[in-house]
Amino acid sequence: MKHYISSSILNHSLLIPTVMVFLSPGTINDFMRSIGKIWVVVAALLIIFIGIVVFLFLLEKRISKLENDLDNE
Amino acid sequence: MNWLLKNWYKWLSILLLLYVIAFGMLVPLRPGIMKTDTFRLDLGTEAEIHIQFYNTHLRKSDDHRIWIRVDNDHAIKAKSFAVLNDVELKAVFELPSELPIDERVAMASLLADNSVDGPMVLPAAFSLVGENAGPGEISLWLENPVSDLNMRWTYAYPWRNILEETIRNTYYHVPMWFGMMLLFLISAIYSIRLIRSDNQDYDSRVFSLNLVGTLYGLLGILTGAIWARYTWGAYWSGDIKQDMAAITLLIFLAYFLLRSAMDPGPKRSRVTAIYTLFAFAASIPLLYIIPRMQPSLHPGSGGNPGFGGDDLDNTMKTVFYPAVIGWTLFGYWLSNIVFRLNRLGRKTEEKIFT
Repeated sequence: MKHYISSSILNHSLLIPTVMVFLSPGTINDFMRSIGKIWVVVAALLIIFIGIVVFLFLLEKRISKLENDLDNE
Repeated sequence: MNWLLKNWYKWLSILLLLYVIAFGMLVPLRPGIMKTDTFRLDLGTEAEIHIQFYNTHLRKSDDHRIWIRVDNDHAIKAKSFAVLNDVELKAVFELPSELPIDERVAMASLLADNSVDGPMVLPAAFSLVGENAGPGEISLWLENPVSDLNMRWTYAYPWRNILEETIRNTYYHVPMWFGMMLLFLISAIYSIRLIRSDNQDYDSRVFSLNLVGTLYGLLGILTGAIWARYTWGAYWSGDIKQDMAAITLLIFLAYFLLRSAMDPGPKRSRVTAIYTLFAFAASIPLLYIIPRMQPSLHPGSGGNPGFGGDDLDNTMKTVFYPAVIGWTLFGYWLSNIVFRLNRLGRKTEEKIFT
């Protein structure tokens, strides 16, 4: 148990700085520019995908509203 | 079979988009020169330059030739070179003491060629600085002209400095705008039909097409911003086309404000249809005329359409045109779902209130 706790503390103490370093602007810029800036294209595709998914969710909300209106008629 | 035929444009859009994403992402870039470690070269010295390539197989070929080229006739060939790995090479140039042109400083490009990767060029790679002006040792510049390049066709996208792999965004960012414009065009056609007939179904068509068109415009702005961050240096540079695109979107966002501010009915449908026509008419100069009259970071400023040369070569056209058709049909599919929902909503409200 003690071993488990200490290892989890160690993991977190390593994890947090790692995440912080990765999220710092310099690292993200280096990452986006790696492999001929291919991640910029991946980001653009992700933006389009997320945009369409959000649009579908909003559309579904409107359908639910219409269904409720019909049920309460 | 009937069902397949009825939904032909949906299947077609999915097939085209699968093709566009697969080929757009998987076809490689042509080999190119990424960067060098030196920019300023002093004439009359020996220069050792470390050159970094992209997508090359330098170790596979032994017939490398590298030039520093001032113009079409004048170039200096590397005296010796050492291949470090597949994408790195060190070249040694013996620079003549005088420039071939009557200047003290000249821009020069770096040219490399081998039988495996073909010719590669890094434009404006060096600034040659000479102590003596005037044509002197011109013969040194003419000894080893750029010739017999290993030109050949490969199924690959063009290498462009700064753009690098992001040239693929031509298949995802640009069709958003083409799709938006085509959806707005159909919307304008339905607006005219609405004004002529007062058929409320056309109002639903106009609303749905404007909605999906605006979604495409927003996605175009966002994908453009992330592309601009890593090529032009900032998410928003105040580029004329960026600003005009933002204005176009604001004009179309006002359509939804206007629509939500009025009570449903024939009057609202007519007013918003006329507004849509004005918005569409305004978007043409905003997106296609004004940006071409101003200096712009986008290709195609200063009057020339952007589609030519290495920005969109024949290989890219085989993906780009399907991308435009695919994204547009997909947008029409989305708008058709919105149309049917909007129409149902109107029908049920009519039922509730009458």
